[in-house]
Amino acid sequence: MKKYLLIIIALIVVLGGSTAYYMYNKKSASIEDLKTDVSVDASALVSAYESDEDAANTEYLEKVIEVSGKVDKSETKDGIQSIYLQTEGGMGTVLCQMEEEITAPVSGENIKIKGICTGYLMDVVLVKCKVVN
Amino acid sequence: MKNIITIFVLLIGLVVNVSAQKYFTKTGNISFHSDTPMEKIEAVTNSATSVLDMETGKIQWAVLVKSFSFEKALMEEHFNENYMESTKFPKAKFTGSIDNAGSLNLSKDGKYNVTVTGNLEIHGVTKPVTSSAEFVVKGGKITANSGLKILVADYGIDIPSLVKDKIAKEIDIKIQATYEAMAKS
Repeated sequence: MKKYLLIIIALIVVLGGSTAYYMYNKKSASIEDLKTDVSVDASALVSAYESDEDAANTEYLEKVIEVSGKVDKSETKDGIQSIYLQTEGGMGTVLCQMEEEITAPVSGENIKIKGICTGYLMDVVLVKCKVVN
Repeated sequence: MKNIITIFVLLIGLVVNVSAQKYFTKTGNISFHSDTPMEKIEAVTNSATSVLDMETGKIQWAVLVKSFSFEKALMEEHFNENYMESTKFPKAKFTGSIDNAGSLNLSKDGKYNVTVTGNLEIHGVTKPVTSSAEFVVKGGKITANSGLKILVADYGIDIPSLVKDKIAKEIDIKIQATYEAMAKS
């Protein structure tokens, strides 16, 4: 009887330990594995931030967002590609930092990008982005 | 005729000079390292913004805390939720000035070492900081490099005793930017 108990305890320890180890070493999730929380138009996203940043943060911050708009420009610096989306009026754009570099889209092209919203500086910033079809 | 040309050339020079007084970047790189024998933690962001006004020597930086990415998901979660409380304090900011801005000529190729002093706001706490920075101008391209060390405790960030040995008390921050001239509107 005691033997069984020991085996069970050992099993629990091994399972618990390996789960903890797995959790601890888990890589940051790729955008592909995350479900979209909100879909929004680039202009609407920027104007939400320009008019009331706190309210926009409640709605979009840390969410997985699918933003659609027209490409303004694409820049690659130190291997990091940033795609800017055009917006109507206002100063700000949507800055999407891509998870992996892709063939630079043409300015004016319609695009839909999925990424995690990290907030608003000069632009609304999305990180870990990927183009969705 | 010669005079007119001279005036014209001078005028163009003036216009170019005036319009090139402000520089900015939207894709500044900030990384930080915490080194302890138990654990090495490293995080990086490439979406920091900075504005540099050469007329006044003022320099500003802003970064979204949630834009830092870590190798391990759990570190990112703890960083945002437990330590930086990034929902409450989404941004970290630096506002300061270049002490010897006069020695910095961004229209001329070269390496310039300057000292930057100002206020750093992290986790809702503002502290004065000083750091040395290096500006490199090469073929019209301006890159800036700087680094500083900060104490976690200075910014009201509590590290639970359970993980005390895994997180350094002093964090090493590295800053790198490629500035572009701001178009005058």
